[in-house]
Amino acid sequence: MGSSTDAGYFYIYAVLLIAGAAGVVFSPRMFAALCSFFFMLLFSSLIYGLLNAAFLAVFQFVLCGLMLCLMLFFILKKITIWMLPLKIASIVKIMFAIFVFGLFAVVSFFYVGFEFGSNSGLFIHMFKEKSADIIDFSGFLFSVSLAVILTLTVCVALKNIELTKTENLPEYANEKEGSQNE
Amino acid sequence: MNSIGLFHYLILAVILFITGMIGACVSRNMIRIVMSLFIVSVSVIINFLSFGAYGSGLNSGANVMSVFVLVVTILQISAVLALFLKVYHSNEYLDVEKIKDKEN
Repeated sequence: MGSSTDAGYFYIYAVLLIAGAAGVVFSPRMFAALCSFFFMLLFSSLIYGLLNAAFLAVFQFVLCGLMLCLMLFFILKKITIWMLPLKIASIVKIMFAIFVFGLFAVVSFFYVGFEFGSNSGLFIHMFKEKSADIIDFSGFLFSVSLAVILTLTVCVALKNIELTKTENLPEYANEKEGSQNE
Repeated sequence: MNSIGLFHYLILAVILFITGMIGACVSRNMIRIVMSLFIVSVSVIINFLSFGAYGSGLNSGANVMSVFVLVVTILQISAVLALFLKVYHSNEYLDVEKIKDKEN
């Protein structure tokens, strides 16, 4: 582990894995989401292989990549939402989520600056200095835990945001007009 | 840059976790929400395995824990999909907000 070949494989698999995950979330049709899901499982299995967990990689690929994807395929066929378009929350929520995602990415990748030596201006440097002599990984545990806590906080906030929602949707508007005509 | 360490895997796990949680929050289709939650569990498994691989003597324990997490997730998804079929047969849609409005 740790050779340049492994580094190359890691970056390739990681980018493809993130692309697959983004495809699951934001693909316009359900069949595209299912294909992205399959590729995400495939590349996560390859990542497991890099982490000396070949058994788990095969196990996940067979159990999830083949069995679960087939099950999802048949369910989507059965309930005829195979070509269902992407229905997501309103644009305000999505923009807010993208903003939060960028914020977390910045917070998480702050620590990358340590590897390249240009870390004097980072506020997180203070935490690393204090924790380096205690536990080696507490420096990045800070950023990771901060990102996770902020993500959970924003998830709660997103779930509780009351938007313009039902009254502006066309089907509800039609129902409203119908009830007024009656 | 050429050597991959624990930090790289943790960053990958964080990105996957955030993507999965955002997907679970902004999606309205139940099946897509389940897929997003599976992304979260993949990030947890990567966390376990990376600490096992780069930690001190925890590799077998991390593998066992990861298999446990994976099996529990699969069982959970199977049960949830069965529930979704039931919901679909009674409502003819799997839109979370429509179901919520119908209940109200």
